[in-house]
Amino acid sequence: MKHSPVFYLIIGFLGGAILLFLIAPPFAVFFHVKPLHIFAALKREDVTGAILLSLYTATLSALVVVLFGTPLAYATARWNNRFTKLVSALIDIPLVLPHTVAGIAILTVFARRYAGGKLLHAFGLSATNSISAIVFAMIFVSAPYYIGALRNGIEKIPYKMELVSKNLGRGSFYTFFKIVLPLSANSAITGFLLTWARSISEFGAVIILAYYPMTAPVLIYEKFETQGLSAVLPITGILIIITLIFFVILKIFSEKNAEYF
Amino acid sequence: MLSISELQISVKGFSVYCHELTVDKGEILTLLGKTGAGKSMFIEAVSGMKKPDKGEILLDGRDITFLSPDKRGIGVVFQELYLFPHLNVYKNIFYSPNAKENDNALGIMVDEVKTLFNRDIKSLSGGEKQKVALARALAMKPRLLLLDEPFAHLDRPVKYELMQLLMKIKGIVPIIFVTHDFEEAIFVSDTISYVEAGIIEKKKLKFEFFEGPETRKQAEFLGIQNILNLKRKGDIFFADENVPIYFTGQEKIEAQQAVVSIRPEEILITRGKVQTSARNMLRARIVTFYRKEYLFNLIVEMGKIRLYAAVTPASFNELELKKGDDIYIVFKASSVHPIIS
Repeated sequence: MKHSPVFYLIIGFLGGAILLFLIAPPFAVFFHVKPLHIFAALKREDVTGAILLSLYTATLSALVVVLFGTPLAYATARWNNRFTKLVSALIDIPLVLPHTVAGIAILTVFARRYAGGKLLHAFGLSATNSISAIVFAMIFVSAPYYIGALRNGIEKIPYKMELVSKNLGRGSFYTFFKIVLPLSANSAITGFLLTWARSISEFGAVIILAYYPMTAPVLIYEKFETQGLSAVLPITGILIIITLIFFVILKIFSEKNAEYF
Repeated sequence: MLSISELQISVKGFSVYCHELTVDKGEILTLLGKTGAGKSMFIEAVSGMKKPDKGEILLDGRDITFLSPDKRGIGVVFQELYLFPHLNVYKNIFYSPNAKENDNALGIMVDEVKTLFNRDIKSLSGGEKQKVALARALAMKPRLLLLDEPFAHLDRPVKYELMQLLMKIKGIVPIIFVTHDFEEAIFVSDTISYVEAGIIEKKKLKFEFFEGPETRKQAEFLGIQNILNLKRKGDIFFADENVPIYFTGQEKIEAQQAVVSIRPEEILITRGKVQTSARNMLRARIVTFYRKEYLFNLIVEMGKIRLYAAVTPASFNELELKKGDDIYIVFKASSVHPIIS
């Protein structure tokens, strides 16, 4: 369909402006930082330590979310009643909270002197200044992405397909692992990568719970505060590269994977 | 053998009720009724997808009313088939733990689907998918096979091929076949249960069913246009003042009124009076005619009464029928079916 020239002009101007605004900053960083500085930064223990910690905690968080979130995604997709509708809405609450607020909220349950904190302590875990604290903060803000993506994926599989599997003599677990999971794998992987990316980029909730050990975003914040912009550019560049690699993987997955429904 | 009694299923204010129904090995029972009549809900209850409110379902003597679907041994094929799209044909067919390749449960189906074994579900034609779904349901060695509108989406030639296939497998297992299409029902059924507004009616032999529908709605559903309201005068029933209608069993009717149906195909058109054993011979005038598929449908008039009569093209030409012609219509007393309600 053809549109009037003014129509194209508006799309070109307004659309182009916001597009530029969105893509320019991540790439502009690399005009100000030399590869040499990036390699030098990678040799510093505080930088590599923070980056590896970020990668480790984000991966751990995403795996924990998969373990606990998959059953909930199934339940909210399949059991259509008032209770599961309420649960679906509640799951998304962390998405609307400011992240520092989320961090404070976690503390009101899991700080050492409260019930949740005592329980954690019994398991040798702590919600402050520890790896488990970082993981808690990450899970809290990122779990809704995985659960939501998988729920949508499962909802697309006709429920009767599961019933047909049962009629053929297969039980609930077999049906789940052979039919439901393979057919929603695409959504699960997308959800996993979204959760991972959200976790690695989390700053607000993490810094409330754990200033130390330092994740990459916290390290960047500290260096920026104490040493200024140019000091943080190399590590910023590294983090942009890592997240862009995962972003590309995410895009390739969602394009390539067969859509069944 | 399947035996159902007093079964009731309700969902959101709509309920389906079946007083009594049995299906034997070697029998194809058709549930025939309009969309939304409750056929699918009934199938879901029998297969274990929906819990009934009450009643009893016995399969080979075992009470399966509240058994989970994976323990019932009932094969189901839906209109949408629900083939597993991520598995190839072979893995679909042998999905059930009861399915073994060297088993002859599949019997006749093996030849039909063997060449497809390595294919992707996506690459199959509609008819091929249908065969795979049927093979998958048979491979589990079911005690009962439920087919819920399985052919509704198919082209006519493919549909007939598959219905013939169905006739071949029918000795293996009792089958319930659900359809709203009475052509399909005529082709495959041994027995038919009519389904209307959630009531599964008592089954009848196929020909009993098509010859004498018991309710006005059944008659309308079957496309029988001739439904007459009769009034008694003495021992004789009249459709109109000078239109007596004789029918088998009329002496047993005590009421002053009766409703009867006559299939258009049962009415013979003649130019003059003929010697016949048929008890109904009435003078009528041709109002109009039109072609309906192979046959000509005539609308004939006797006073205020109008009837449809179907005539073959050969008879139509031979009799040189025209609008306004005066003719005789002839039909047997046994072709007039009293409608009970």
